[in-house]
Amino acid sequence: MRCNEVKRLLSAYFDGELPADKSIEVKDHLRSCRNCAKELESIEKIHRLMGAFPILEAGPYFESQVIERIEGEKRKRRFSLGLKLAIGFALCGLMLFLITLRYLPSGDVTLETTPVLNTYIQEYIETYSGHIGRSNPGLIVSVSSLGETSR
Amino acid sequence: MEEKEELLVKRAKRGDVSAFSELVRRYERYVLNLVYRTLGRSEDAEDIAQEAFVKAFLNIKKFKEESKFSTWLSKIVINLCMDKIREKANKEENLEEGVWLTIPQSSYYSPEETVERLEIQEWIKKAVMNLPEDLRIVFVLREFEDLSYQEISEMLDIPIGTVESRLYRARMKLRSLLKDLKTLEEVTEKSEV
Repeated sequence: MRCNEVKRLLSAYFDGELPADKSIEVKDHLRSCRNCAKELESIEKIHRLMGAFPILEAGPYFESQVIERIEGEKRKRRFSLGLKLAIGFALCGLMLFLITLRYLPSGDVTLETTPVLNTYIQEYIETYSGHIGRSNPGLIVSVSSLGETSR
Repeated sequence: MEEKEELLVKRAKRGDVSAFSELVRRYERYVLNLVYRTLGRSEDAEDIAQEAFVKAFLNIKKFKEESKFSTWLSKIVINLCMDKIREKANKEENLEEGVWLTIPQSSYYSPEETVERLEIQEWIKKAVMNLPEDLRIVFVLREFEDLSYQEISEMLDIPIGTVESRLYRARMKLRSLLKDLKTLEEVTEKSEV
């Protein structure tokens, strides 16, 4: 084995990650080559130096702060789920309401008993039938017929 | 008697916060130092370590228990650290390579060539932080966390050959950066003499 190849393998050799046959070849080479042996020594030295890398200690409240953050995250998720469900229900309700409104027979009793809502719907229909009608005259028919129904 | 880790993990998977709290207690030092060695900043290491634990708890159901809990946790930590590195890189320009070498030698070597323990630590830290991110992460996982090439390869999703070459390059770089530095044993020997 040549020096260049051995030098390239020294790091894995040091970590014990070379296949057995390669490891034996490197070991044999190191016995007779002072240069490569020095390279290995420098890798060993780096390893020893790393023993002096500063070590941090966790603060006394580390664990309780983690748990607090987890609880906060759970609350956030619950709120977000609740909000999504509420929006979903509200949209379903609105759709049901609009569908019901569309198919109500003329002179509907419900609308007569809720004058405030009745007025609101009428205003809504008038506003939007005018708005839609300007850009799509065909649509006025259906909206205004709805308006007549609600009257 | 200490409860077995597998049981704690199973309880945590059912949403038991007290079981997870025990896991935090066991791994807080490990996670904190993995963050610190990867990012090199002590000021926000604790905050990022806590964030990693929160992520671990929220995703613990995805842990298939095919590997050790610590390996799975390390993967979360490393991914989070990589996100932080990218965030930081977007915010500010990277420091030029070798900037730390501009510190004059006299500031770490006394005339008698004895080196203070804290100064050695600081130099070692700076040398490691001076490694490019991809080399540093592999080096930290091998040198400090003692993971095998196979484990590092799986954790970072890179071939074993890449792990090997990155480690080799990291060590060659460190060798040139630290060649004049004495090991703590040498310092201790010298001061005893």
